Amino acid sequence: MYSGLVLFLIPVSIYILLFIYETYLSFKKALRKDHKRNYVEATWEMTHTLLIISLILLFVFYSRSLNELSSAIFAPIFIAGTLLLIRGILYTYIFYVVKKTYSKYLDWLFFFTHLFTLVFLSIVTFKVIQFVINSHPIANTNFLPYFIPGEILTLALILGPMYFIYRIKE
Amino acid sequence: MHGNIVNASRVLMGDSLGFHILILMFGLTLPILCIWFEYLSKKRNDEKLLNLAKLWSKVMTILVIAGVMSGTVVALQFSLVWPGILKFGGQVIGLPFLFESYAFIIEAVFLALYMYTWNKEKISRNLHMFFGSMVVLGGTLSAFCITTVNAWMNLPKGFDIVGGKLENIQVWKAMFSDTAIIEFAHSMLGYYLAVIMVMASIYAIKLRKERVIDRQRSVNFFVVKKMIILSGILILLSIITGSISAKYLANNEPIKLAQIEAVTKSGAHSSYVFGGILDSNGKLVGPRIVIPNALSLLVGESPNTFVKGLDVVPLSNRPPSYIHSLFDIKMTMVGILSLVIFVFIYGVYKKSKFILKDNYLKILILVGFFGLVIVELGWMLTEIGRQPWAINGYLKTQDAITKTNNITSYGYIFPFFFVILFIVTYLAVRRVTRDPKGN
Repeated sequence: MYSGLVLFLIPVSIYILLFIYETYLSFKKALRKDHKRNYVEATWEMTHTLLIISLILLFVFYSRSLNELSSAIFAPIFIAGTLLLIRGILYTYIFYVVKKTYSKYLDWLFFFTHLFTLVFLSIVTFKVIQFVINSHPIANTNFLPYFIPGEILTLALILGPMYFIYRIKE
Repeated sequence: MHGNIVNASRVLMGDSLGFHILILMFGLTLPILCIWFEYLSKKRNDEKLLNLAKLWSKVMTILVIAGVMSGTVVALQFSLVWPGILKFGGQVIGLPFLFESYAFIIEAVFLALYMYTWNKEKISRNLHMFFGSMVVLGGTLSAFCITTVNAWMNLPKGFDIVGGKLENIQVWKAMFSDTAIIEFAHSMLGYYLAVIMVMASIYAIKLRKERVIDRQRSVNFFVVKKMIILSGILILLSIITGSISAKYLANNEPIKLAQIEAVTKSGAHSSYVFGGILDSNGKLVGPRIVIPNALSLLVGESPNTFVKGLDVVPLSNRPPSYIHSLFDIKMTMVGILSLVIFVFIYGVYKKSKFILKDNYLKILILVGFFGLVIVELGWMLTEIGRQPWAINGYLKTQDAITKTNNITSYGYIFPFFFVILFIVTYLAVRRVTRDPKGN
């Protein structure tokens, strides 16, 4: 029962931690009077893959209780999804479209999309934990024999490159 | 009321997938083109080609940003708006979703590595191209996994239903079906063709604007020529996979084929019908071209091949009749695109100057964007053609939907933001592509 929850909590927790750092950077950026681009670079978008992985794990492992689970998290996760979409739009606009100056309100809006995404994703995580503890959903553990070797292989493939990327990043 | 929710949810999912497919087409094709440009630059010792590779890899990064956002929204919608699909088949078809997440992370990490090592002296050109190949591998595996899920929805396999419950679950059989292989091959060729033709259009625009004495010596013409020749090969391969798909549909999804081809009555000597409209009673009306025996020949290589028609299912269990018209539009666009491509290739072969004239380039530029529409139409035919089923023969679309009706209240937020994301992404790509060195 809890195997699916653990598999969901690992990537989503790492994602939330990394997103807290992004939120902090967006706050620092909003406080600045100039338009210097002190924010994470596009390669950090790869951290967002962790969120997609978390969601896939959650929905696949608890697919048999998806009606009940989706009712429990529907509103906060829809809001978080919308906020992430707005964040993506602002990110592309600020870092790839505008040349020099733009309204500082955009920086603040950028920060608030981070902040509220964080809040709603935390609510989602909390509600998932609550749901699993109270409703005892059956997890699709039949995938574990394929899932775990796959995870080991993937980690073996990506850990070296990831270490290299963060080592050479300025 | 329930009908409204079903329609709203279908529109919402269709919009999101339509946008995401646009992005992923580029995500799957651009890495291949970047490696190719990089390889050509090394082979010819040509700095301009290397700059092209750098430029398009930058575009690739912008599209990844948009793709991650749209992918997150699609994953959310699929699970939250259509929980019935995974509730029914999650135990059977969950594996490709899990593998897709691995493939996705491989793609993302190696894309970062590819981008970061462009100008690193310690990284050889071959190693850099290897990083790019891993992006291609990750993206292709990711596309394969997701296509297998769709293929399974079209032809569910790998389980038995015993006493109303799923038994004898075989996850590999569900994942690696013939349907999956055919769908994957046909859709990948479509993606490559669409993006390569867009590239041809973009460089044809640049060629028109360029002030050179001899267009034939321009690097823009070099790119257009390479892209069009590649497109010609892809068109030929697509014709092969398309005909295999038609045979597959005749055997496994005959109602979808019957609705697409407007086959109103079952029987041998089935005709290929172009034009006409199926009315609300399933009767074919309006002007049309009929090629006798052609459909029987296509699906069974003999005019005596029996083709199932719409008469074997009641009206309520048929897909919407307009998919026949959608298919006609798709085939018209495929025809025009093929004609323009092969006329160009003929012009290259004959060393004719007419392919460099403004008028021909204008046609090429316009037609170059047809591929994107063709891919979107292809997916619409696959999805709408499966209706009224979400999982063919097992779960109706109206039963797969969420029990909450919140979707009609604020679901339309997503299409609204997708439009803005599309505009912003377009502006970002335009800004990057205006820099010839891709800085």
